[in-house]
Amino acid sequence: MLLRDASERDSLYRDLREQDPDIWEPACHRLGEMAAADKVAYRVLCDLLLSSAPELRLRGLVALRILAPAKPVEVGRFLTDRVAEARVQYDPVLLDVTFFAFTALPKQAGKDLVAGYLTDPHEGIRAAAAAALCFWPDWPTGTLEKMAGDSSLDVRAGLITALAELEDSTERSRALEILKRSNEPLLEELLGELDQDTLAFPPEPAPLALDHIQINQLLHSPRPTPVDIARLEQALSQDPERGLTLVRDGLDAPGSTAVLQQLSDLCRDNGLGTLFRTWGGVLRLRYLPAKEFLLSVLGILEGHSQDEFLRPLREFLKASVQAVDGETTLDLVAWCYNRQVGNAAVAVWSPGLRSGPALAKEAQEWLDALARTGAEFEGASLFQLSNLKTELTRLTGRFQSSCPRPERDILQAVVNEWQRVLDRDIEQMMGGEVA
Amino acid sequence: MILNALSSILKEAESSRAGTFFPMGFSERGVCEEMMTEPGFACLSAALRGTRKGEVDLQTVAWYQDALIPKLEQSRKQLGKIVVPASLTAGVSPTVRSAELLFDRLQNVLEHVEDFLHDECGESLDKAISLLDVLQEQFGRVF
Repeated sequence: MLLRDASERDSLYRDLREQDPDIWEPACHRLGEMAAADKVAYRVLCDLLLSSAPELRLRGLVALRILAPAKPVEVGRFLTDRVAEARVQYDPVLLDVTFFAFTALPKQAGKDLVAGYLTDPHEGIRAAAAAALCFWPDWPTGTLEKMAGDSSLDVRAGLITALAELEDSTERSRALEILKRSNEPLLEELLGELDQDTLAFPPEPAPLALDHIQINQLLHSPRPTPVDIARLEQALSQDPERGLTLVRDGLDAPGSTAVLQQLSDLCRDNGLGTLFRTWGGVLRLRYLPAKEFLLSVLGILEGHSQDEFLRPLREFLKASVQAVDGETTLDLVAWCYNRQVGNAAVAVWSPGLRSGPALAKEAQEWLDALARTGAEFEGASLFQLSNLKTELTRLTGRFQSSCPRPERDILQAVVNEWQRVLDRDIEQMMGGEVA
Repeated sequence: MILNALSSILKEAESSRAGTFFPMGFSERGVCEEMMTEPGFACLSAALRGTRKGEVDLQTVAWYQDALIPKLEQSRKQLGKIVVPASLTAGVSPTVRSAELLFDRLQNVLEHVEDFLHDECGESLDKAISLLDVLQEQFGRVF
């Protein structure tokens, strides 16, 4: 069964990305079967597995299970590579599904690989391996007991999920005894669930949104988990403006860069993901020279989404880039007048361009204040240049305390560049080079 | 079982994605949601289109008209107050001229809208929409 032509390829591409599982699941199966014999289909499958969207990677794993019996070596290598990746970027959901895919490998190949991971130094990998023990019934004596005595709580919790599926045996009972002796509240709760015949499905399957305090704690965490990020995203979905304010307030926290990075990858809304990617870019790149910094940040924003709600931030960034696009003080002052004219036009055309949830309202006001300050510059005399420099310093002190991040970092870059240009002009004037 | 659970999670995620994170600036009737606070000609453009489709009534257009006349006047005054020093005329004049041209054209738009409201002439409505389309394109390039 080969991909006959481009239209069939296009159709498969579309079906794999459909919302309806009745369409994408058969497409995954079709792709898995095709990939065994057709190089193009195999490449399509690899692209899916390496996609930046976690959902598409999961769909790729569904297709991979179909391919595994036909290409065990390639699939085995692919799965072990994904486990190795978990050491760098830990996603427990993907890791669990990866371990589930080991079961599709023929004979005992998958079991041997999982056995190797039971002693892995990474506790997340050991936990996923422990949870996968239930897929093979015949483990060597002592395996379950050894895992029950693991120092990691996650590993022991993973083992309990496996024990729930395994048939009753002496080995299983001994492992349960060891787990009960640990007196950990989480394990006790999980062990309690083992005794229930049926578990009620949670009434609300969506992740529980984080509250204000939890968001603040998350932004201070050096290693946020994808589950926490999913809950943060839920909080943002429930009340976008409040959620954005909370994230904005926590930008000074040490874990904020990691949270923004993960949020931008996991956000279901592309516009919001782009906003966080841009914010992350501001925090990461703010030490670069002003022009390079502002252009890089604008590039991040322009490159990922044209969402309407990002428009105020886009216009603000463009104005900031234009503000530093000058080599002399007069160029900067010309920008001030152009900004004032532009503001008059925007006010009558579309006032909404200047404000919205993606941009702190104070940011536009401070950029306008900068334009007003520059427009008071009356001529290229040493006194005027020094005066403008003093005003800029005063302005900086004021917006530092009243403009929130990350817009404050953008304004700071503009002012830094202005200071640099002014210093150079003052120096030239003192040296008598400028008339 | 795992695959079924996976399907339901993915389905849930996909259905959540169907909506947009922040609402659009215009309601289904083509009326600008910012109208209550700050109207602009971009909103008038959407409203006029809505009128052509029968989704927006004349009273709403008149409402925009009433709000935008003083707004345009105010922006013109604001532009008049900007005194560009002679040393910067070369750098700033093109922007000032563009703004003046924009305001003149917007005045023309208001006149076409006035004609339309007066005699409900479709031709005036089409002229206003076409002019706003041209301005929209030019506006994005200049400001």
